[in-house]
Amino acid sequence: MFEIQPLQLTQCLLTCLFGGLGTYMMMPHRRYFANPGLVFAIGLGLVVLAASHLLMLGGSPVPIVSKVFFNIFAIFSVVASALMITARDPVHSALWFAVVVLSTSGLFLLAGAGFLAAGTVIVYAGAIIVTFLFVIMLAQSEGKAVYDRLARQPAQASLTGFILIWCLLIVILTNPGNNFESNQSSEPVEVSTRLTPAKDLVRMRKFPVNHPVSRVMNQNLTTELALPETFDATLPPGVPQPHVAGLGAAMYTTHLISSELVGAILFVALAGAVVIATPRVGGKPA
Amino acid sequence: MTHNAWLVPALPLVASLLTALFGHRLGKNAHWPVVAGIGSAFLVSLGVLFGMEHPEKFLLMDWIHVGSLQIPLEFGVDGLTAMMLPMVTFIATLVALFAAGYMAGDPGYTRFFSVVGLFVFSMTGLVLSNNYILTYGFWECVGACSYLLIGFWHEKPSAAAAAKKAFLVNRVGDLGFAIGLFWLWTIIPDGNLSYDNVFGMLKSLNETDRLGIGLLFFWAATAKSAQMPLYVWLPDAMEGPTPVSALIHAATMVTAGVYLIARSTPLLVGIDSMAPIVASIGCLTAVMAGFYALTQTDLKRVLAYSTISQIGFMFMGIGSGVGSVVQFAVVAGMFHLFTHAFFKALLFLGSGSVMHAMGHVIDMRRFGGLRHRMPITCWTFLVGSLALAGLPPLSGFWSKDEVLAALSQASHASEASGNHGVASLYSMIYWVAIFTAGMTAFYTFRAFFKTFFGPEKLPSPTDPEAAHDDHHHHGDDPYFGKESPFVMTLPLQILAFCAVFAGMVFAEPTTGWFAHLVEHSVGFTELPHPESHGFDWVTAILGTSSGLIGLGLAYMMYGKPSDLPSRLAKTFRPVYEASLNKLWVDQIYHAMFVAPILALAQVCRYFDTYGVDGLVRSVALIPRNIATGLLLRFQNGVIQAYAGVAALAIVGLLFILVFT
Amino acid sequence: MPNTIFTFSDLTAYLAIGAALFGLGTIGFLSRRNLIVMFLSAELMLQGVGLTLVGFGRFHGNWNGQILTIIILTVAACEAALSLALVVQLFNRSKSLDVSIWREIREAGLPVLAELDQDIEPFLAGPGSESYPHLSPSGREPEVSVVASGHRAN
Repeated sequence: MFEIQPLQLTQCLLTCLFGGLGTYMMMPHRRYFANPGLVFAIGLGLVVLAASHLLMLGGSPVPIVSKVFFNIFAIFSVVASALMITARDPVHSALWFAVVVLSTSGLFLLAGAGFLAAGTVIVYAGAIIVTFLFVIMLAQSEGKAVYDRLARQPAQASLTGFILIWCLLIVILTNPGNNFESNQSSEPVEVSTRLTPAKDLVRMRKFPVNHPVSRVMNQNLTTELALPETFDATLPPGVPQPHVAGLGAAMYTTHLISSELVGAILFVALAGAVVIATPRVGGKPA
Repeated sequence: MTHNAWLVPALPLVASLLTALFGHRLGKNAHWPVVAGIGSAFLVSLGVLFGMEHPEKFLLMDWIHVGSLQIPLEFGVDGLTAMMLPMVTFIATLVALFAAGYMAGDPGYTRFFSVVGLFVFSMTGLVLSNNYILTYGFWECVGACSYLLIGFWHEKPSAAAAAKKAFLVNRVGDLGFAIGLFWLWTIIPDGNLSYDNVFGMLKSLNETDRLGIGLLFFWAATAKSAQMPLYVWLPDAMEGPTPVSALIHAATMVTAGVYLIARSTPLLVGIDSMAPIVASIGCLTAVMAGFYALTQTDLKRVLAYSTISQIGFMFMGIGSGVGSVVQFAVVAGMFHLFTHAFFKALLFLGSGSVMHAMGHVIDMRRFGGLRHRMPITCWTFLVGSLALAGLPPLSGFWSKDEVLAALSQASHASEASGNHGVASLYSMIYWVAIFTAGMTAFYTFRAFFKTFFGPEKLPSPTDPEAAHDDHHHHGDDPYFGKESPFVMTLPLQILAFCAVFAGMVFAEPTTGWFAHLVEHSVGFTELPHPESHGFDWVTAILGTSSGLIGLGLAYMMYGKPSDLPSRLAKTFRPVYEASLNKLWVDQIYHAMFVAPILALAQVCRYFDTYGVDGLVRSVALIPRNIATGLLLRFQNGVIQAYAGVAALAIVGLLFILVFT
Repeated sequence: MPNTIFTFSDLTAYLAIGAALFGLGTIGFLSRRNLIVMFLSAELMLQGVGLTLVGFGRFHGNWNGQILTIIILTVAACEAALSLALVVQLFNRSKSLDVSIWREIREAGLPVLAELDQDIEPFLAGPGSESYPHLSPSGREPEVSVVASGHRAN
């Protein structure tokens, strides 16, 4: 029914198997008859293996520098997130999360989202992580707590999570665009041709008209939502590329209401946090 | 000026909304918006009265327009409207002013004034409406306001029950109105129920339809105007605050039925059997309610039965419209409505003033001889009683005389047209009405003497009659046993002035303004015009002497202490009991209608509980058992278990999306 | 936006990494019992979604993906503020960050499943965050009560 290359299917499966096994081994719980440190190390190795398999599913940027950095950031983000969810100490978790955020910011940068990368570093790695650390310090009891040394049902959790990952990967790889890609020459295609009307893709795959994929594709996403200046590939050479200016313009024209709403939510959350965190005595603010 | 007529309902509505929204901020001044709103509505309606030259109508907006159903929101100004508007707003202003004193300190102060404003809006809307369906809408609105105000002290079970009773009895009548409207709509070719349109098509309607519609409208009127057999709600409605009784259940709303029949006169003219029915019902109600009023000990209930009786007089007036008397009959009925509003509002407000001073005790056995303590209330009440008794030259005399004259003319007219049965019916009604007039004078002055004459007596908790309402302790009430404040006595004095002069100024024999005004109503120009007739001295003398006899009897029995009443009660024990228990009508209704319906409700309840619910429950058992067997254990309070289920659900959805 | 080429396989890589972050966040949320780590895992899932959106935005050549990510960033900040406030409150009540304490809202009559404490990871003595440096005492050693010292040794 679904069209996917057998190689990719195998890679998917291997990724999930290695990743699931590795994550389970890294989880905090009792390992009977085994050296905990060794088990953890083996698990970490499996996760690294899974991450590299994962990378083989997709391509990477063509310039060699970008390629190197992309692979580093990708592996770092996946491995660091595995370390984050298995760290015994919440402080370590927070620090590993910072690593994830920084790697993700690198990926953002490689995808051309410079402003977002900077923003993520400042907001996440700067503000939010520090807040987390502060709360951890505030609430941390002495030594490792029992609940940090025992995961709840690590096997079932790993199984669930990696079934989810497997499903997502299958969905990603069976995207009709995958088929489209395999029919093209290996030459990189300009971004403008990437914007081939989605209807053509649907026609190539011959989905029934009321199939969910066709329904989504028939939305004609690209031509109606985009602002003219966002089609960078169509800009004449020599014209400076719109960067933050384009993002800001899109944010305050097309998405103005969303931006305003988000601001309102932020304000409400501020007030809510103040109200919730204020210690109360006898039901009234102290 | 007439084009400003829409302001008359609009101003009280705005005042009501303002009070409802911001009244709690005004606190003790919450009555000001409503008093000002109704007062200015009165001024506008005076402008309408003097500016009206011929019937006019204004289309405010197209309310409903579906297929052949047209309901425009339109107001009309004609004689009846121009007469009713100032009367309603004038009395409402005085009553609101009175209530500012009477209701002071009540926790529901703002709610009271808000609903009063809403009522004035509905009542003036009812009067202004130029369309049967719009009239019906406002008719329901005044009913709802009446419900809200009767049940104003809803924490009192008796008040809640009275409100419910009033509402249910009125629903019975509204059913008649609704069916009448449907019937009318089916026979009017263009589906436009505006008065002028309906009255313009009379030629094309057959007599059976008109009679049926007329009887249905009269059915509705008997409920709203508390006539036989649907009068039972009005005495109980006295549970509401006394200003409400004065405004709604004496002066204005209960007369809406009379207004409706008067308004529909052009529709009903020429149908011989309609008028005698109306007159007979009115007559029966008048004499029966008067009979009940003879023995009541509750001052407000005496006045309530007197209201029912007087509305019976109005219907007798309108019901005498046979042959050429039609227009005169309507004038007589509406004129009695007009004067009655003043003196009955006066009497109710007077009783309210007494209640206010007696710490909300209204049982006449528990107080007496108040004329020195409450001089203003006493003398204004006397004026009201004289007017109600129909003694010249007070207003009640002129209007009652016109009703009696209309009845006598109806008898003559029927005789002339060879209809001897109807003629003798009318002459019988005429004599019964004269007898009722005497009875009216008797019970009115019985109440007056018991309250204001005799040895002075104030309510005390040691009274044998005080057992059932011993929750009143008024040691700290500053008004206990004293004359009411100026804000309450001022309306009494103004109304007393009106009760004296309203009849003289407008009556047929003196100026004829009133008749002239009513003639300028929609569809009235085609009515048979009365031949000129002189003042009917015989009727006037008969009516007056009947009233004087009643007054004299009351003075003999109650003017000074005597054992005559109790001896009479012993002698005519069955009659006394029948009057005291109101002919057991409430009990009969309960046995005939309420009890069977309750029994049916029980049956339905059991069917619902065991039949329908049993079925539903047994169906519901299936998922319930599945849930307790399989799904219950997932509800284990662990957040992460829920999150895990959610994650697996996403997996399932992805599978469905991709592999189907 | 740099004028480099972004092919479909690039997009696939971004989506795959995003999916991995999302799934790992799910695992963390499902298995960890520390409230703070659970919230960190939720943030990790948001990071995965953000990566996906940025990839799609780049692939389609418009700003929508980035703007959605900014919105997610803001909402994540709100969530962090509120959740941390709640965590502080919960900690003040129970002096513990264990989420297993908070399970009052469950079907009546269900037994509380005890955590399997025999599966707990053995406590590893030695260098780690829980060992604190010892300063060698100088001068006279203060009188220490037996109870306090026993507590410290434990």
